[in-house]
Amino acid sequence: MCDPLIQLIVPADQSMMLVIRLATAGALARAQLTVDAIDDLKMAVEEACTLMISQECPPTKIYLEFFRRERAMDIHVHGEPGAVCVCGMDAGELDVVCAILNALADAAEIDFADGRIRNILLTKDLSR
Amino acid sequence: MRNPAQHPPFDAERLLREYARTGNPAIRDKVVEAHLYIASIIAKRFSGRGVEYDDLYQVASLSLFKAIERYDPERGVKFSSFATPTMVGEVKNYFRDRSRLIRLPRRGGELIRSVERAREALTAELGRQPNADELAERAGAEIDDVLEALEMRGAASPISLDALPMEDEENAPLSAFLGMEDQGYERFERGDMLKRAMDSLDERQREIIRMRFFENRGQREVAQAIGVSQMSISRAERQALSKLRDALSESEEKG
Repeated sequence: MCDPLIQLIVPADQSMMLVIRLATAGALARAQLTVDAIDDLKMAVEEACTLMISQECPPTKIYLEFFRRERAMDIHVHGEPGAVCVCGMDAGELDVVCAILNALADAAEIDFADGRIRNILLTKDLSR
Repeated sequence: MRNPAQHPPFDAERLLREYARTGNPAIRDKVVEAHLYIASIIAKRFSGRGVEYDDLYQVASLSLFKAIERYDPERGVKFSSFATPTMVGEVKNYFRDRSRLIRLPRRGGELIRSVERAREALTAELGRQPNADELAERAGAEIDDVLEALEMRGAASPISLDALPMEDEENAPLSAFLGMEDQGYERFERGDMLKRAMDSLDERQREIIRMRFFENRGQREVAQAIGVSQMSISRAERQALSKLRDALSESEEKG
């Protein structure tokens, strides 16, 4: 994967949400997205970060990375490399959360393995 | 979390085909009940952003009915996959509508108003939502200020007057901190007027009024206490009240 357009590393703490939302708004505004689309993606990113933070055993840092492709913007949310996390959420609830993220972004994938969330990928289609 | 829709033999799609055919509300209710857990998860995920869980649960639950009415079983999409985005959409709209009801302090408020005006005008002109650059240009502001204004608009959320300012302290609700007219002055004035009016009565009349209206005793009881007939008490009370009325209306006219 190429280097991210923007990388934000913040403590895995709910108090960081305003920073995360503003950084997200800034990154997305430069992709010529409409304000409603920005609002939706701010919610999606906040939700993805909250999902990371609210794990039974969360990472200590949240990495938020924006990758620009030709017709899409990928946003990755994950913990610090090597973080030992435990999700603790039942599969049914995780499915609904994934559906929520899908409803806010154009596509969402939760990389879940070994009982922990390794990465959340949100994709916004810029060709529409 | 309980998820009745996951356990067979519940088949939402079959039930909804039947509902589409018969319009039987009992079938619809069964599907709603089986999917309320999604409303609960959505409400839980979105609460803590200035809106209570119960309100969000209500919005999400009601949108389940909308989802059922719009759902087409013949398209082959699972109902839960169809309903979740519908419910999220309703919750999102609820957040947007609420944030537009809030009036902010002047400095931020002016920018937000001009951004909102620009947004409405551009939406009408372009036939789509504007992007942040277009908004900034029309509002005559820097793009960063526009983004902040949009964030500020979303951050402004009303809270209940019954809410406690700090959850971990035994504080009074916010409503207790609102200014209000002090009733004490009026009470004092009325008390003073009544005291002066009582001076216009003779000692026996004062005693009767005190026992009847301050101690809430019946006429018969007062008559026994003073040692006269109930008829005398009734007459004396009438005269005393008439004197009091005159004295009080005289004071009010002077005041």
